[in-house]
Amino acid sequence: MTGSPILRAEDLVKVYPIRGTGQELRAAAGVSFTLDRGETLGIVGESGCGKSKTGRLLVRLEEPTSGRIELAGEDVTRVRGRALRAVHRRIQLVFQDPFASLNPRLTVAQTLEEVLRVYQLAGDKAGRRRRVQELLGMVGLRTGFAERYPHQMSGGQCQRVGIARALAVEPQVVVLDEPVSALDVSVQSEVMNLLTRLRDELELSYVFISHDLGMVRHISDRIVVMYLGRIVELGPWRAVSDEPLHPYTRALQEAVPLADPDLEAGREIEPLRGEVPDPANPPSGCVFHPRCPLAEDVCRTEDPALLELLPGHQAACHVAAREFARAGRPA
Amino acid sequence: MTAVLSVRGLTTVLHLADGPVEVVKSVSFDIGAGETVALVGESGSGKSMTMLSVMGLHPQPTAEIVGGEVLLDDVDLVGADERYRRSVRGSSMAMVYQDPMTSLNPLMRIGAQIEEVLTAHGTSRRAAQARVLEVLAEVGIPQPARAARAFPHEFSGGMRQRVVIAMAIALRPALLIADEPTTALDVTIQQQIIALVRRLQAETGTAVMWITHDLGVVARVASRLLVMYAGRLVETGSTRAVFARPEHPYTAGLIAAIPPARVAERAPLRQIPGAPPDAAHAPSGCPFHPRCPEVVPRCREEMPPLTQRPGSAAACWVPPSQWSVPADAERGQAS
Repeated sequence: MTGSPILRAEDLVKVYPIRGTGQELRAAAGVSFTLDRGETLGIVGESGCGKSKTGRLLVRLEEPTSGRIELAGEDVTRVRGRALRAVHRRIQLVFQDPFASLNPRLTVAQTLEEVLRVYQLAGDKAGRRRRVQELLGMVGLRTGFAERYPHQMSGGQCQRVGIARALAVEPQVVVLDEPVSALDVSVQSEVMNLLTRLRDELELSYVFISHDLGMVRHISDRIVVMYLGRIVELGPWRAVSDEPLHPYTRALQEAVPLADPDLEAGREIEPLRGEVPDPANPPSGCVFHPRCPLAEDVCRTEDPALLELLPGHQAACHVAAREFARAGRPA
Repeated sequence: MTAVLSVRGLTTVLHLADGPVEVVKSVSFDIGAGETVALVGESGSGKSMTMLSVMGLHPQPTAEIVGGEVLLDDVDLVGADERYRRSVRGSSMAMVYQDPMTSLNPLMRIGAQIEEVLTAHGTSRRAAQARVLEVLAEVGIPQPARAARAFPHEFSGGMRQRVVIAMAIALRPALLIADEPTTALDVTIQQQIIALVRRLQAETGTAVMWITHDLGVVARVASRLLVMYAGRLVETGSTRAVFARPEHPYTAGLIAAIPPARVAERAPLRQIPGAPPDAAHAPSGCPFHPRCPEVVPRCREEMPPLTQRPGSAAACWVPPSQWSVPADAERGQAS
């Protein structure tokens, strides 16, 4: 993790007009972070927080309304055509639903060969065949899988094909959008282990997007927590997941049941009140204030900035910031 | 402890084009009054079909109960006529599904739907109307009178699930069967629903059967758990004992497949090779044997019985003391 970041998001904003109302929906409202080479950045949050949207902006499936995306120092925010194709050779997306993201009429080999053909990789037909076998080997599928159709495979096997397809172009960065959420528990662990192994072997950098704090904690070097299109906390994996600074992260962490009855027995958990507000009509000030157990007057009027409260650990919270300013440590 | 529900040798088949397939295989368990029991399994394990069979809501005629008893207050529902079954459904036991829209009529006002449950079981219209407002308040829905006049689409997923729970508890059933009630919800809303069910349980003494694939939810809500695999119960016991000392390699594998909480060092997770089988293609002998690290020749031939021990039971030929991958093995010994 040395040198300049492989990926940089700067103040990414994605706004959708809501037809007939004059209102607008801010799916991403100023998202900034960097991804170092070889690093895994986890993005965690609940539905509607903008985590998947951020992933789609990063791989330029959609263009941000404003802000800047840099891939290895190069501005790729608005590239089109051939330049965009060149971007997609370096950054790839793996989708949540392994069945829906594969063409049901194509065999595994056809799916992978198509990618190789489009990007003019692996030479001629024979070369593409060899490369398909190599890709299957990388994701731990026997060569016989080349001739299978998606319906002839389990969810875990389909997701391996989805990963192989992303790796076919030899990307530097892979954005993984809920890659194990649709899988059975006994299959999740094998895909997680595969992702970890591939990252280390191929020196990949990951953006790992999930609603599952346990999985994010397991694979990430740093974790971003999003709420209503904003980053509310960003820091080292252990600090964010075990000693969070933001009251939303704390509520999220407490709400996640741990698969350990002894740990669970000692937890008195007060559920977070209310629900995520309508993103088309976000609350004033800090967007979390209507649900926050610590909310004060200032939270209702002023949007808190994302401040570095500990080395490499940022949070957007008036109360946390004040505690740090006063004591140098959280209360 | 008196059992609210006692299931004995329940066997359900699905009549498919290629012939009947057993999807629930001789399942037996008890639920005590006020108890919370988790039924755990992955997709295709038969956990939902088991509880649908208990409720008599299995999709007939495709699904058919071909053996066993479902004793509710000592009356066997499998042998009972449909009129009796209908009278206990909703009043003595009620079910909450994963997707609240499964249970809600999108064209009917919420109050009218709950009222219908009450009047169908003999409550007068006037008493039912009063109870609707009471029960909506009990499940934490603000402004019950206004909510009663609303349609399901006017509510969020979490609020709809509260409505379904209100409908399920309106007649104070002795048993509430919750089939993945929080799987479609965000985790902070899941916690609200868990807290709600807990509070209702404390207030009314309802027993809860929580069907889930999430071992975290099990650890949070259940005092006892039943683990299901390919239509069979493979392990049962108190939640703490099973998590501490699983006696079936499948349970041990499931627990170790989850990233451990609060650890400082992260190691590869335990893998269970392959995928859960579907009922139509369940392997011979012990259905877990093709994925099992402890497999011995006998496992391929003969299904081990669910051996009763004090407070627990497991269906495995190989005792934990002889396992090659101990349940508490350090992570990273991926099979």
